[in-house]
Amino acid sequence: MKQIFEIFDESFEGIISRQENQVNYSEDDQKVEYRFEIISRTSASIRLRIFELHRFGEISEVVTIVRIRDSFQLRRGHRTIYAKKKSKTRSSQDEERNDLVSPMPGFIRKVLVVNGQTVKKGDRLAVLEAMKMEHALTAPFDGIVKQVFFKEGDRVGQDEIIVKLEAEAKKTT
Amino acid sequence: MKIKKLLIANRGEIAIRIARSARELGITTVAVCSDTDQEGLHTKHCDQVICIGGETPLESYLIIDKILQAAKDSEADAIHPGYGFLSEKSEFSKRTTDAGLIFVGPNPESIEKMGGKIESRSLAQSLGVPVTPGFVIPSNVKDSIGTLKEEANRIGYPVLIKASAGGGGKGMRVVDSPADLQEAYESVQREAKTAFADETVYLEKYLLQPRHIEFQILADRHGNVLALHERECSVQRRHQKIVEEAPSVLLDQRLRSVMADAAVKIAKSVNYVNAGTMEFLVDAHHNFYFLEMNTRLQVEHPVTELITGLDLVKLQLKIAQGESLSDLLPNGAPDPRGHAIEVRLYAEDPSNNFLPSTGRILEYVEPNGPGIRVDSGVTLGDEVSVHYDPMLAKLIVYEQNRQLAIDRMKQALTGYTLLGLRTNLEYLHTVCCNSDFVAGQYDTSLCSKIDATPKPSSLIDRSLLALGSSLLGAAQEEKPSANKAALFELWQNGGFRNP
Repeated sequence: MKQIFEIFDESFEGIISRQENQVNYSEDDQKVEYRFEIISRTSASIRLRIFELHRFGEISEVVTIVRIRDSFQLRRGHRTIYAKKKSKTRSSQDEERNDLVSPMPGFIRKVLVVNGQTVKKGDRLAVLEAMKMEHALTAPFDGIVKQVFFKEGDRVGQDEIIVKLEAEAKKTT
Repeated sequence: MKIKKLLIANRGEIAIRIARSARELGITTVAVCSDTDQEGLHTKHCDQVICIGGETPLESYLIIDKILQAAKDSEADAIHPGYGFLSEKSEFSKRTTDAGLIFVGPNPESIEKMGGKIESRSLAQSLGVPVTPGFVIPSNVKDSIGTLKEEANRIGYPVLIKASAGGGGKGMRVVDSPADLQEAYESVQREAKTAFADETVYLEKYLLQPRHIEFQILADRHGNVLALHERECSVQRRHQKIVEEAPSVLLDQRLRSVMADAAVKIAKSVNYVNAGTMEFLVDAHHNFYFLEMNTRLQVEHPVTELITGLDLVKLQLKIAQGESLSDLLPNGAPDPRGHAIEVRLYAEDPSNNFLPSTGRILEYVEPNGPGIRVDSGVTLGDEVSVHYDPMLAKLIVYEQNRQLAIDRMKQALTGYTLLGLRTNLEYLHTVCCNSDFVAGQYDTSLCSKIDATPKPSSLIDRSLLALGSSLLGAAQEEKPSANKAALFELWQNGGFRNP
């Protein structure tokens, strides 16, 4: 079974095959194989013991994986790895670039622009607050505010679009 | 007077920590909670729970009337404020006492004198204790921004704007140039209002690369004041402490006792009672400057407990009952032994500029073993909301010396699992492995030098994600929420799809 994941900004494609509790995984010319046992599981999380075979015998370690919708979190040793299953229906980069999304869940403290306003790169567009911390949303390029989707006091989730900007040069007709 | 029933006016790990000591002393405990917090872990550690309603802190934990009503309703005879929230409001201390209850903390007069950073600095100065240069009082001035600008120019940039009632890294901004002054000022004011219900703001010279070292104070009602040694708190991000340790590798015996004496002198001058902390900055030349006093129990008090073998909350409760330190600690402050380190586990995303992260805790395992202590405010299944401080738990370790303590901390961090939202767990491990940290050669700029970018994943890591994905089932298509549906409409109206 082929799976495509994205870890931070890196995307990787791997082929996994599983026979009972034996796993074979490969990416291009690299491969790894091991045996696993399920220690415990719920609908959203699973704890595994994996066994790697060496000359001298098997070495085992315990790992934990959880799923939150299409993203996964792996705890292994001192590392925590956050991955996203890559979706096929991805909006074009251009559209993404124009949508300024909330980098964290929280509240809109201040809205500093109105629809149609011209802004310069670095201008503060809105101020968010979460867990008593403030965070300013700034314009990534010179442009015109097409739409502000929230007002002061509104609650926002992570990755929700707060402001839609349009680059100054290429105006839509 | 013996305390029989204690109301804990706080939430999270500190409420739980206070409840533990109170119950050991045979005191019945009362928790308060907001509507959002009804399932909060702290409510499960107390004998009685009173829901005081409200969603945000401003609607709940920050309302004195609600807390006092809860104390009255539950027939509590004492209130412990914890840290944050109302803990440094003199009005809270006063009204608690006026209601005939014991306030487990200082009297309102000393909170006013020491809690306000402005007053405490002038007081320290008058006692001959050095303070950081360039200090002004912009409060009660009509044109506060104008005054602020003048004063900032006078003392020279960079300057620090701070909320007078601030603490714990909240309500504080470094300003590098006059252009940023107004925005920073307003932002600090807003944060101060939300977090401390006090808008007073002040300005000081921002020392570059100092060490942040503080002294724990205990004072009773009979005039006895003890300094329980120092805590080194220089590992900070955005002025938020993330690693604390005791003893400090910087201090020699002479400097330690000079600073301890200064701390005791300041506390005595205001007839301070109960636990408090004097914060100092120490520069590269071992000059120290009094920074502020925290008139409450500190987040990082466990490192002091581990090197002294004392239970500070129990001592707070006994002092509040009127007991004397000469009975409680007849030999004075115990000599420090061994080394303790604390790390703070935050709900934040190091790969996204450490912004707060929320969500449900889907997997939770605490480390254990000799010399490992976890003071946690959360457990499996808890929902971490946007309303409260992102600190989830503290992990504290103890060993014979610093090197062994660092090794133990790295092992304990590896044994900690918290999944479901993003945390700084791996970042804390990175800090503990940093060569400057290990060498003890660090100041408050340490974190800015540590690369927080996540290291690349290994082939096994990726195979496990693929395995986990197949075992946990294909991700179901997420149903668009009402909010998202509304957004979609707006997109169309805004000409997103059909320009």
